[in-house]
Amino acid sequence: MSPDNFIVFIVDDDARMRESLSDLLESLGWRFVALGSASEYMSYTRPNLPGCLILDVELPDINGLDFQKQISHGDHPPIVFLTGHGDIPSSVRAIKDGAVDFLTKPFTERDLVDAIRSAVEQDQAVRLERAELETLREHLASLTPREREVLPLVISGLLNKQAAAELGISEVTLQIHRSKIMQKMEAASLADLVRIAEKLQIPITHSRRAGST
Amino acid sequence: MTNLGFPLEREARLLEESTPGQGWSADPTGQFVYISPKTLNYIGQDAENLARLEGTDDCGWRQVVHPDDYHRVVARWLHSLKTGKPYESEHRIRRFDGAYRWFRNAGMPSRDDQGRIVGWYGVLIDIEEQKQAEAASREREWELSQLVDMVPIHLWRLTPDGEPIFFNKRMIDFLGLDVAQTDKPGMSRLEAVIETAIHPHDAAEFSGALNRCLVTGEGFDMRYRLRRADGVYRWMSSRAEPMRNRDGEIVQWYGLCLDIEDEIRTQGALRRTVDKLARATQAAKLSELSASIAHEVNQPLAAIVAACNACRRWLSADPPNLERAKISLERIIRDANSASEVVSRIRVLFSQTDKARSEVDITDVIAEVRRLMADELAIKNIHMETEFDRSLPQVLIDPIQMQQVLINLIRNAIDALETIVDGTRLIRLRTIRDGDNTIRVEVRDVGPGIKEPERIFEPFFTTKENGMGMGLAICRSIIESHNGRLWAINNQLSGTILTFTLPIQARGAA
Repeated sequence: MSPDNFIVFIVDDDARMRESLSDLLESLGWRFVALGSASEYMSYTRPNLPGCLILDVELPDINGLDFQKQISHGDHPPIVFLTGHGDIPSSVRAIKDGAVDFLTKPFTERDLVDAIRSAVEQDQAVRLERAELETLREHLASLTPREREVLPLVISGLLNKQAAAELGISEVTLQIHRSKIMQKMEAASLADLVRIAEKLQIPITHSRRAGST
Repeated sequence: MTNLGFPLEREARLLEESTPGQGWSADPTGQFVYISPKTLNYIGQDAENLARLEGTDDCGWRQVVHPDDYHRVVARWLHSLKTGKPYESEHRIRRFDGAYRWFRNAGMPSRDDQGRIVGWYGVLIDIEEQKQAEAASREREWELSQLVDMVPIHLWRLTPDGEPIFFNKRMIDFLGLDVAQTDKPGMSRLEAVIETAIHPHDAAEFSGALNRCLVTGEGFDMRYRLRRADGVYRWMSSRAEPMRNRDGEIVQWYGLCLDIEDEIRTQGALRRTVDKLARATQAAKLSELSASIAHEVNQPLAAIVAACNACRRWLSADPPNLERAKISLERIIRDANSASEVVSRIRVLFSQTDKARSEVDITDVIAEVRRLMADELAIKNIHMETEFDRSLPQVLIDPIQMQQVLINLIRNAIDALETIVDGTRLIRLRTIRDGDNTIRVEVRDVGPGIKEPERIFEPFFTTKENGMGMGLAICRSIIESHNGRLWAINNQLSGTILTFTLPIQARGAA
C-alpha cells in the first residue's frame, strides 16, 4: 500500500474532528479529503482510486447508518464508522451492512490506521476483481458470432468431433475457431478457459454425458 | 233553664240537626236512652235493634266500636260511670258499610239536687279528617327526621350566638356524643365542642372563622379535621348558613359537614404519583443528558487524541517537522479547553440546586451578561439593543444558571449573525410581562432563521460547524427546572426569536 495509490474520505460535521483527522492523515503522508456532510461527499468527484470512507454516525443531514444503506448499491469505498457514543446494536447493524469497522471516539491511531488499511485493501481487491472482469468482458466482446457459438461447446468438454457435428462443420474448422478463442480470451489452457467462462457466467449448454450417447 | 216558648223536644232536635255533633244520652247505669238519628244512620241500625244488641255486651258497643279500640273505650266508660268523672275518648266506629271512621266522644253526668247522677249526656263528633291530617303530618315529620338522620352528612344547628343545639344521628354516631353530652364545666358548649372534636391544629382557625360568621352573618365554609369517637381525625368540608326571620334577624344557624377524608387521601396519592412521574421524567432526561455528555466530551477528546498522534508523527519525522507539530499542539490545547468547558458547563447544570435560587431582578442578570459579552460582541461587530420593562417583579432564580442560559441564547444569535457579511448585525433583547404570573425574555436576531425551530433543543442537534448541539438542550433543562418554558420561532421578516418565560412567585409562596 504505497501512500499515493489510495484516498481517504473523512465525513464529519465537527470541524475540530475534521482538522485533527486531517492532521493525522497528513502526518502519515496519506491522500485524503475532509468533508462536512453526506451531501458534500456525494457532490465530490472522486478520483478513480481505491479508498476508505471514514463516516461519522451523527451527521447533520442524515444518520450515518442510513447513509450507508443509501450508497450500498453504488460504487463507494468501504466504510469505517466513527461515533461519539457507540452502542452495540448500531455497530452490529453497520458491520452486517458491510462496514469495515466501527470506532468509538476517542479511538487510537492504531485502530484507525488498521481500519483504514483493511478498508483500502478490501477496496483494492474489489477493484482488481472488477478490473479483471472488465478485461474478460472486453475479450469476450472481441469474439466473432461463430466463435461465441463454439465457446460453450468447448467448455462443456465436448470432443472436437462432437462439437463440429453439433454445429455441422468440419473438425478442422472447429479446431481453427478453438485456437482463435484461446488466443482472444488469453487462456493458457482449456482449464483456464473454463475458469474464465465461469467468471463471465457463460452457461454450459451440453454436458459431456449428453453428447456421448 | 228559661223556657223561650219552644217545646223543649223540638229545640233539642233542631240543635241536633244543625250542629256537627251527634247527641246521646244514657241512664246512670250506662244504658243508652237516646241516640241521634244521624248516629243511627251512620251505623245503619235502628234504635230498637241497637237496644237489643246492647244486651249482648256490657254497653252494646262491641258491634260498632273498632275491635282494637273496644276494650279501652269500655274500660273508660265504665270508669266514668263508676266515678262520675266526665267521659272522653277517641275511637273508630263502624259505618253501615263496614268502613271505620274516627270519632271523638265526650259525655258529662247530669246530677240532681243531691248530687246524684241521673243520667249522662254527650256528643259524638266525626274527627276522621283531622285524624288523617294528623297522621300525614306525623308521617312527614318522621320522614324528615329520618332524612336528617340518614343523609350521609353531619347536620347540626346552632343558636344565633353559636351554641350547638342539635346534632343529627350521623353526627352523634361519628362523635360518639349527643349535643348535650359535649358540655364541659367552665366553658360554653361551642368551646367544649371545639375542644373535644376539632383537631388542635384547626381549632383556632375554626373558632375564628365561625365567630366571624356569627358576627357578620356571612356563610361559614371551612375544611378541618374532626375527631371520631375512636379518636381518629377525619377531614371534613363544612358549611353553615344562617336562617333569618321576616325581619332579617338570625334565628338559627344550620351547619352541615361532609366527610372528605377519602378524597383528601386520593388527592394525596395522586399528588405523590405526579411527583414520582416527574422524578421519573427527570431521570429519563438525565439519562438522555448523560448520553449527550458522553458525546460532548468524547468529541473533543477524539480530536485531541488524533492531533496528538499527528503531532508525534511530525516530531518523529526525519527531519522533525516542528511547524506542523506546533499547529497540532495548538489544536490540542484548543480542543482540551473546549472539553473542559463542556465539563464545567455540565457541572453548572448539575451542581446548582434550589438553594442557589434567590429573588433577583432579571434586568440585573441581563446587564451582567451584557457586560460579560461586551468584548465578544464588539469583536464580531454586533450591536445589542435592550428594552427592559422596569416594572417587572423579581423572580426566584439561580442567577448563575440564568446567566448560562442568556449567554447561550446570545451566542446562538451571534452565530446566526456571522453569516451576514454586509447589513446590520443586530441582537434585540427585551423583557416584558406575560400575563399576571409570568415574565418573558426575548432574544431576537436578524440572521437567516432556522429550519426546524423545535429540533434545535434536541441533544446533538446542531446546525453549526463546530457546535456542541447541546447548549440549547441544556438551556431548556435549566428553564424548565425553573418552571418556565423556552422555545424558538422564526421572526416574520428575518431571523430567530428565542423566548423564555419564568413564573412570578406569589409573595411568601417561595
